[in-house]
Amino acid sequence: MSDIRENRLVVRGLSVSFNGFVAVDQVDLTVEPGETRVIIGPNGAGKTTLLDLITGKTAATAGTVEFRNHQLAGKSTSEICNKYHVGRKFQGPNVFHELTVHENMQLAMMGNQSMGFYVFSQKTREEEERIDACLKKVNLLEYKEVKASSLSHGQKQWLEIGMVILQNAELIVLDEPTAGMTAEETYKTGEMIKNNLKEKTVLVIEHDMDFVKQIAEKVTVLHQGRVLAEGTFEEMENDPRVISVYLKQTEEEEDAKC
Amino acid sequence: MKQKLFSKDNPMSMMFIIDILLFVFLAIFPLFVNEFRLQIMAKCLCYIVFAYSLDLLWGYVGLMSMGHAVFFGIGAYIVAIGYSMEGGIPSYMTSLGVMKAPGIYYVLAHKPIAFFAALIGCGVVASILGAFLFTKKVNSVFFSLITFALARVFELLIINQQKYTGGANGITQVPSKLLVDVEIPDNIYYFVLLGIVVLVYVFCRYLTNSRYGLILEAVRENEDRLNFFGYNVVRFKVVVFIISAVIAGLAGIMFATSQSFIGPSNVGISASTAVLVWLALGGRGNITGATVGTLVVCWAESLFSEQLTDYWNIIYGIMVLLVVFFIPKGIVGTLREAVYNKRTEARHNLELE
Repeated sequence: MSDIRENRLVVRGLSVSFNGFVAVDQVDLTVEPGETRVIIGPNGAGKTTLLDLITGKTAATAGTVEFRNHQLAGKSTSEICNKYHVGRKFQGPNVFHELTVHENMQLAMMGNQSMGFYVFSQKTREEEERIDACLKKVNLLEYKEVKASSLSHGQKQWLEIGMVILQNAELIVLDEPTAGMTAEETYKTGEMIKNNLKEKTVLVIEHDMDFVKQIAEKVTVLHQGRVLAEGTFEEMENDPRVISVYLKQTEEEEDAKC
Repeated sequence: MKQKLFSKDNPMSMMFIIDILLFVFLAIFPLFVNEFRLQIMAKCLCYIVFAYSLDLLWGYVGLMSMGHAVFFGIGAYIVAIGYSMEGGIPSYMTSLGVMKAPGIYYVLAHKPIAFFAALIGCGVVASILGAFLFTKKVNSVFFSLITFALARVFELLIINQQKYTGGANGITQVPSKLLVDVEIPDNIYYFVLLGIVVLVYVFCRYLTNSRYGLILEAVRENEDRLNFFGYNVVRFKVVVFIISAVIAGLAGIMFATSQSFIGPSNVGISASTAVLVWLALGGRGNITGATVGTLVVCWAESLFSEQLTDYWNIIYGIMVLLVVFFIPKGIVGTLREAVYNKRTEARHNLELE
């Protein structure tokens, strides 16, 4: 792998509009190599759309996305994944349900190979060891031969995180990795990300504030498609603008629930 | 690290045992039956290869082609047309007053050329169709509808071009020859067909157990996810579509030469839907199900229609309904799931102890 110091993500003036509705508006974002950045923001702030733009799922109307000094905007998803080593975990577990945990991991590991490799090569012991090591990191080693559909919701999330770790990406994008998890599972997930993705450039979308506090080095707040504020978690917690649009709203939601 | 074929840990081992028993049964079958029954079984063998071809596509990749008999038909018709040229202009043409066949017919009169032209023809049609459909992201139900329409168009084309295809009557008296210009007697031809079935079976097993097969299943499970792991999904779909079409064409060749006949009813919508039923009954996505389903339906059809000619279609319909309601995964699929559940349960109990 190349020098990790090059793994800087630079987003400049990124915008996209759908039928006149501007979902992401002039977003500037710089994530330093090895940094874990969390993006927060109320529903509809354009968080997932921003990830779609970075990973090539949606084409941007304007702006640039640069990773390792390469332009990503306008490239196809599989190219962004292969050439520029960008891995993504989707919102809600997005795995291969009818396949076993082991098969899921195998798929994550062998993208971007030739047809000849897929048809003729045999599994190697080294691959098995890598899979086992990675399954250990996400607490799924005992479930190796179990179908992904029989896992619990939290375990499926872990499986997908494991797949992204195994994929050997340099920029890892996680969309709500703890959605639907218990407090304990959320904490474990945080440790998982902190321990295993230390050297990667990581971009996370999250709602759970304890979790954000646990993993974030820096937080970016998105509101109505724009960057509202950026800084450490403590700074954001005390920023009056952030409180007014986001934290307050969360409280309202919680009040409404009660 | 290679998994052992016959071990408790390999979930495929049950499948292998069933397959081997089935092939042994097929190999000794001629010892016990008369020529009439053997001819029915010979037809079954062609259909088994046809079912394998669709299982690759529908069972593994989840692309339900409702017009797969088009490829069966392309293979069968190219060979039937070519092979019937050996005694001069065939009778289905002369009876309509055609005294000179189109130039290409004389080229196809050479047996190896006709044989390979049939396979390549299927591959070319599939690659054009596949490239068009899959790059345009035509999926699931729309893929089924387009292939369904294609089957009807192909059927009509064959019927309307009577001068060149034998029309609704089909082409009869196709010589029982394969690849080379040697007439093969029926009882030997049966073993030639069985040999082809085993070869295609081994090929399908190898392919589906390879990394390639795993990726095919992943396409079925979650195509979008696969894109984000850096796979070019369109390429995988086009390639498997071509492989499947060529195997279907091979089944067509086997059918036309062993049954000495090919007609529009064997290549249209009814044939395309029949193969869907075999797979649904036997179980998709495990190859073994294709063999089992084809054998069960073909024999049920020939035995019932001997006894209760008028009721066969009703029985057939009831059979399909029962499968859909009670064993949606098919016979082998249900069996396989039971084994998987039992194994998971055993592992769970072991952990508790």
